[in-house]
Amino acid sequence: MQTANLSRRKPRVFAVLALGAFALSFAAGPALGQGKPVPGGTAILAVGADPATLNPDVSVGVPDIVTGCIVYDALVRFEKGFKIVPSLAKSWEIAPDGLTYTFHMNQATWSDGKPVTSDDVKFTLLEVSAKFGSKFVSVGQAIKEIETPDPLTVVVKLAKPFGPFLFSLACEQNAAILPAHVFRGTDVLKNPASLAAPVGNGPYRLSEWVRGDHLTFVKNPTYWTKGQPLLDRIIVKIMPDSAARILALQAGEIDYIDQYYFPASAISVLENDPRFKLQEVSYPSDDIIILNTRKAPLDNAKVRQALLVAMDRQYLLKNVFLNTGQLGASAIDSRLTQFYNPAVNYEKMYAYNPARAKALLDEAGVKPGLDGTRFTIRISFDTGRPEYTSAAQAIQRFWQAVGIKVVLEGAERPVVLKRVYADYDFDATMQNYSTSGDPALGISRAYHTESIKQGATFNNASGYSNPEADDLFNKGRDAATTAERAKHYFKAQEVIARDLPVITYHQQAQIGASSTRLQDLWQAANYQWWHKVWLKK
Amino acid sequence: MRAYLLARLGWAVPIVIAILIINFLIIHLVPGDPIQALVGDFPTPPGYAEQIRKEYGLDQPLLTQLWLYLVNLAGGNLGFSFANRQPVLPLILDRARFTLLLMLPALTCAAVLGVVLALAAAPRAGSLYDSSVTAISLIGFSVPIFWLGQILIIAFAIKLRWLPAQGMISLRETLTGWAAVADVLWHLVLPGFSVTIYYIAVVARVARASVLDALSQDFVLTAKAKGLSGRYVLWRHVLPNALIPVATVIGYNFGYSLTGAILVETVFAWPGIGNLFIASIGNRDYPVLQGIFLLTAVAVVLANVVTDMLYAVLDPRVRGSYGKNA
Repeated sequence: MQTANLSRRKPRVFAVLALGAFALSFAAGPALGQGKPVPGGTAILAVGADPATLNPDVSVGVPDIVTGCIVYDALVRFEKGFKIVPSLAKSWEIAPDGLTYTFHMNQATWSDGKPVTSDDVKFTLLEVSAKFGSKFVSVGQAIKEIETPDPLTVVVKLAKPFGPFLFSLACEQNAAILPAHVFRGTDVLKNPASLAAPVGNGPYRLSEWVRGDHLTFVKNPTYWTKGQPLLDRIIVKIMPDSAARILALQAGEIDYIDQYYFPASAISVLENDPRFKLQEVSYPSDDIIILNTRKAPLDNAKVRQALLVAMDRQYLLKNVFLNTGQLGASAIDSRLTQFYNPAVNYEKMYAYNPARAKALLDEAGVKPGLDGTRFTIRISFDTGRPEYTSAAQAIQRFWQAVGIKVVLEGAERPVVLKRVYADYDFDATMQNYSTSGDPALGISRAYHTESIKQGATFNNASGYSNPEADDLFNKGRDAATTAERAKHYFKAQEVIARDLPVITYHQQAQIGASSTRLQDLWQAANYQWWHKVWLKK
Repeated sequence: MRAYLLARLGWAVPIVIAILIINFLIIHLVPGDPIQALVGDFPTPPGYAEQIRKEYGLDQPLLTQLWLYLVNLAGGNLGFSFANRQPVLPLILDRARFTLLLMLPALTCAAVLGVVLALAAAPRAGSLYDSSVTAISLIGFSVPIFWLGQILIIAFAIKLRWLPAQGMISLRETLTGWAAVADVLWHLVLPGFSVTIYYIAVVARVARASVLDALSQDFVLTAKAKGLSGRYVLWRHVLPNALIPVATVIGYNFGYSLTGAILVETVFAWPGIGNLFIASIGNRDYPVLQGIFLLTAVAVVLANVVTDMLYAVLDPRVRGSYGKNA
């Protein structure tokens, strides 16, 4: 942690290069661009539903973020390797105590001709993102005040250091900068700019929305980066059916399927066709089994360990996830290389071994009854995800082999969410949690006592509450440097590996499918870089 | 006749209201929270979910919600869509155009072709031609429509590249005038064919059976005994008698045409009511679902009334009975 003495020194400039230290390097790969970018053309991408709102700060729905982040820019973006780079903010300084961030903005204009100012930033972050943005809410709580010394300078003062602060200012983190003159004093959710007529500062403007069919975005002629964007038009096509999307890509009628809407089962259809490119995009997410620790015998850590030991994860990776992604190693995804503790590896600590699982259950006092059954466990899962049904059936077989009777409770997603997060009426549930690129943003929510909020979804449903883990997650979030943060997260992973309220069994690959004509797509696939995408003739 | 019509329409009102109440209760009984669908997969900021819940009246008891819905409906207000954040009526009407564009030509073609096939097949019952019509009808009726759609896409859009795979317009070009009309028709071919094949089978099967039934009646024997030609007997005596069940099945399907193409719309990404319906179920968008149920119920009731009127046109005996009852 920084000392008071250090904080009194003149703030040192840690601009872009220093921030590279924050970058996550798990997504490195070959360069995507081929040849010199040329302007012009129309790119068509497919999503599964109409956006519910065109305001990317009040929703985390994929169609909402996809479309909203075409129209709006945020202060920063991240590029490949999750390195933070400038966007509306051309540079910034961070005080050594990690509490004050000073941003210098580019000169940009709104689509109604008014200038984008520091007041827009202050209004957006405090009045919209912090109040309506699910991803931004914890960041919002860390902000003490925002000052606007001049129209192009923003000074954000934090109440306490917040490690992923810069990362949280990207568009898809509910931090797109909105026009204060349009939203101030209005109902943000019902403002026409949120519903159908956005006043944007981004590379494209909405020109048409045929509900249920498509949205057309045309080039912003006054975009603040000269010579960009490159494409003339981006069309977002609404296609609810997954098979229809793949057939349309094959027929050349669309150019890109967002990773959220591209099923792993379709990889084999496209992977050997030179017309298409499959690439890992977006930050990692994990397939997990949340165990309800409120219920015996799942309140016993030995029983939870036995459940992991009894699972043949290699089988699931090969047969259910078709060798996409990796085996789960720890509570923190191993692709978050800055924070993953290599000493924690479930494959070594809890290798698949039914005999050991039985021994652990015996030790825990959960002995088989006359019919050979030790206890019954109900697995709640979303049947809308075909891979979960197959995985649940396999897990049923694995657990039954060690004397645990398994009842599969597959249901439609809203039903599962109600059972798990509102009623706590489950023993085990299969879920997918995004890491959001940082343990403080996407991972601690599954373990922290403060995240036990009945009725609210995608938080700590297991009921696990351990002051030691809470303290480590808090310190990991609040420490000023990445190295310092990692130290606490390393320990937190050891504690979770011992207690296992949640079984992380698979690290999912987020794969987007595109036509090979579409170039420099990676950043756009992360909802913030469409101005650089171009079409090869 | 007019009194009969008014009585039928009068009866339709309580039927539609009963349908609405039952549907309202059924869709609210299904577990799932529309607010969850709205706010997505992250814990929401404090108070946000409650704010939306209150805004849409979802914090009220179910019966209060039902009462408010019926009161609004009486004033012509079908409610506000949670997921689309716009009034339900224009939303549904906007999408209904596209569904009708797909369904009405398909049903019309199917009705005509189905009857013609049956008329050609039934008098030659047992022949190779008749067996072929029966077999084709059976296949058309049994083949899952989404499967047929996908096969057509693979064959004609991906392999042969003759026809578009999905959608209603070509998005890469900006077309106007007759070129735009031709483009829509071009996009209509595959989904239209998928729907038509199914309904031809539905109509042909019923029409064949009723033509066969009519052919075995005494008046056909009498007509033939009088020396009338086979074709004259078929068109003048058999067809009018056989058309009553056919009219029933066609009318019934016209009533359902608004929601009758859910699967085809999904497979071909056709932006009609069917796609809206599926999306609204996923979102638990109750007002939109209620709106679609209302529209379908009204369409089915009206189609039934029209079919009843058609009976009177087709069959003088029915005309007579209306006069007596009324």
